Amino acid sequence: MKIASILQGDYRLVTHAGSEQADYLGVYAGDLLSVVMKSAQPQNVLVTVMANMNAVAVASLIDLSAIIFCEGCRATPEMVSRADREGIALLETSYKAVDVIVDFTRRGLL
Amino acid sequence: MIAVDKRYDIIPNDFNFAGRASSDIKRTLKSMHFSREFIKRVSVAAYEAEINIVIHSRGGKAAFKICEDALYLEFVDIGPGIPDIQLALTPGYSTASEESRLNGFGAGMGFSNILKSVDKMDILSDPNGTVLKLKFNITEADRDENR
Repeated sequence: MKIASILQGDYRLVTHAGSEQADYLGVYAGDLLSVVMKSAQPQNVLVTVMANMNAVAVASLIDLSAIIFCEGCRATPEMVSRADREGIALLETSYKAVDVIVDFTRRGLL
Repeated sequence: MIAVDKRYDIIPNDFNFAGRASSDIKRTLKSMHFSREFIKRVSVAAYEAEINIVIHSRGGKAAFKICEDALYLEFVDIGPGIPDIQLALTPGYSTASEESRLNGFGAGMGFSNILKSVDKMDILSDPNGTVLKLKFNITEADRDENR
């Protein structure tokens, strides 16, 4: 599945144009980064409110495809440039994590 | 033969710099074509150990070596030490500050993630500092980048 298929409605891609062409396999939602490292799988999309550099660092370490910052959390320019360097797509949404999961389920994106 | 011998400084309380050592370790292993599974084990343990120094210590250093069929990571910090190591190893136990928690840390899962990843862990701690030594055995399968 392409990241591009997520981009309908209230999702905004903040990394460079083209980063939405990456593939993803499944979704993991969580905020505590040690738990994310334990449980998320390579190429997952991480859904989190943890909008900081550490989330991008963890995504890079465990080969996540993308991060969706939910509940209006915003990525800083530093996070965007690091994610661009590491090949991770960053998206922002006003949805809560649970609404993202419900939306993905409804649209067959899981 | 020592194939890799690298050292890193770890700065306390600098959440933007945190993870640089682990990222370099991961990049190095990727360039050496280790398996994805092996790289993940080493990267996760390295990151947890690095973050422990960032959030709990007055600063420290990491060393990364590959020697024949083993990979070694050593993390040394300059205190204040872990008062009760058994308690620190208990999943869910954390003394992380509010700032660390706001940065996504302090789940109390650091050592349990490390223990799950390594083949051997040694830890020595007193108020002068903590030394954490991690060993990962390298098998033929770990050298297969397609795994």
